[in-house]
Amino acid sequence: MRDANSTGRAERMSDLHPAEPENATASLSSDGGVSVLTLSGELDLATVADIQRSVDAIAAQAPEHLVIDLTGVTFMDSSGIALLLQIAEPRSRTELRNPTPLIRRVLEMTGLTEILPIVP
Amino acid sequence: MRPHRGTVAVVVLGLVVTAALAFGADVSYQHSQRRLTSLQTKLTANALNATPIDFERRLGQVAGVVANSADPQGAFRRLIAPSMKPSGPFSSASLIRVNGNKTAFLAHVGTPPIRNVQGPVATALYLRTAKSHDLVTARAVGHGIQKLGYLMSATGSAGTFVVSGAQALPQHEVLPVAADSPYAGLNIAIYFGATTSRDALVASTSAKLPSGAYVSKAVVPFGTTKLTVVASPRTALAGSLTSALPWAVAAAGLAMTALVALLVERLIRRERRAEQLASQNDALYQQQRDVAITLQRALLPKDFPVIEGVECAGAYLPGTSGTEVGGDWYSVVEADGGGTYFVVGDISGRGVEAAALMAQLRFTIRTLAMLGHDPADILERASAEIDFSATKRFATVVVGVIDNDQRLKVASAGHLPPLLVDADDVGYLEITPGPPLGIRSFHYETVSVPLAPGTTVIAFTDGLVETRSASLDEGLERLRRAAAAHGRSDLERLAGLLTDDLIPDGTEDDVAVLLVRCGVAVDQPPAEPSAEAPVAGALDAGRELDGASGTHV
Repeated sequence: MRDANSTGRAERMSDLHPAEPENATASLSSDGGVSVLTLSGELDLATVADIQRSVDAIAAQAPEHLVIDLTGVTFMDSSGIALLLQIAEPRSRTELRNPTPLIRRVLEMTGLTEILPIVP
Repeated sequence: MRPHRGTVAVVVLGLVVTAALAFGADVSYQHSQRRLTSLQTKLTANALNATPIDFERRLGQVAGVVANSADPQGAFRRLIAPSMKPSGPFSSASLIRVNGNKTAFLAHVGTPPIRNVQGPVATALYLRTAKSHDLVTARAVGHGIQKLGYLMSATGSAGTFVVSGAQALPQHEVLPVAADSPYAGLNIAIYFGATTSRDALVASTSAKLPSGAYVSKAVVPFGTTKLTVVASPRTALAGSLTSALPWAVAAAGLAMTALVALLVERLIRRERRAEQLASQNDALYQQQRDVAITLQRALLPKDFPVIEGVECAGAYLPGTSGTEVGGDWYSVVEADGGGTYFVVGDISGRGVEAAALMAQLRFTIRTLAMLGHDPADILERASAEIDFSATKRFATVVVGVIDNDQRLKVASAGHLPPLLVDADDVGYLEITPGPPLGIRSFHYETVSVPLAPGTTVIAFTDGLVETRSASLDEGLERLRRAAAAHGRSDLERLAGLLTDDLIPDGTEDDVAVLLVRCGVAVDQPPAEPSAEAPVAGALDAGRELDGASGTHV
């Protein structure tokens, strides 16, 4: 049990995704007057903890209307969903953009698209 | 605290090496001290040996002339004069004629003799000299002075004559030695003859006679007798460094030993401490994990309610990724007005707070189910129990009810749809989930479908189907296939088969699976146990599939 805890995760990730970066990133830009928060990488418990502070800082300066671009997000678990909800929570309008089919499916299955609409 | 064995070993090794090196340095010092002393002593002795040759020449010449002179006494006085002090070496000189066994003392110059020149000792000396062709040496002591006498004889036309010259020295003379002299490092004593008795001491370089471990002796001929030179080093002859070297080596060795021992002890202590901490951490981790699992178990239903015609099985597998308690749960509730409710939920995140929220939601939903509320209504009301903006947590929940008319009604708050397994088909319930609970109030929808008797409803949390290596749909499809393969199995066995198939090595996330089968009483053979009986069997099956988790029926 202990072994699984200390090394299992890293092994599993390197086994399955040898070439993909494990880190998640977040950046803010503007697209035709709309603020766009671009997330990328795998959004899970570990990576979300890593980018939480930068996301908080970005979210604090972002306006009421925010578009979250998910083009580069390759994996998302409940930690990633919590991150999206957290960004959206204080805002009057938050939309999601460009999720991959896999991520779109996760968003639909968790009912998130009901409150965070996916826009083209 | 007692020092560690390793430190003791280092100290012992250090001391042994230090002792060996110091001993080696000391042996080398002693050897060089002995060798140098011996060398210096021989050099000193050789220098003394050279002296009589000059005396032999001076006295021999005088004796030769006197023996052939018509005026032996006049010739003696004239010829001996240059050899007398202060220009020459002698303080006194005498001329003796020897005729057979008779001696006649003819002349004397310089300091008076200290011995009776007519006495038997003197007479014997003269006679001995007359027979010798070499320099005869003698020593006389008296009146606080010593005289070293040198005698030569010659026989000529005038007869046989002995010429004697003497050096007067204070008894036990201490010779001054300049600090830069080659003899400065030694205590030297010169003895007349081959003995080193106090009486025979002619001169020394210090009142302190040679002594100690490095005394060296050399004997050299001195006329007809001998001189013995004895010397001992006053200082380290090869330099003061050589004598200090063994001590320096010992001191450096001890210092190094102490330093290394200190370092080793510190390192060992640090490592021990780290090991201790690590083992404590291990124990603590295991303890926390055990507590987490125990708490989780405590919050799950011990026994499912006994509902006629309904069979239930559940499995909970703790995730492998941490010590904290997860927020997955399941419930089965029989409504007061009839109908079997089933609930599977998952609080985001982990920890005691998640578990507390889970307990709160679970009991709220149970109560609402008991009162017979519609699933969508239950979700809408339960959503108020959890507030994402305050806790940063949300919950995905699926609530279903199999009513008295064999209809399945389900509502989902962001939860994966239940899988339906009947005799003809295996497929997921088509349902559009609303958002997870806790985000904002929402109007959930209840989907209602007819249920064939014996249909198995499988509700689960995402840990069962979510993997990094495959998409969610692939995971769902794997579960569907596994259910199709094992769907006819006994319910508690099915729970184990599904978790075995989908997550054979466990998973990071917690997993909760709930299976409900309705209208089974119709198909059951008479020998099949009643609704209560499967409890024991289910526990056994649960232990078989995972020793740490239980399966409840």
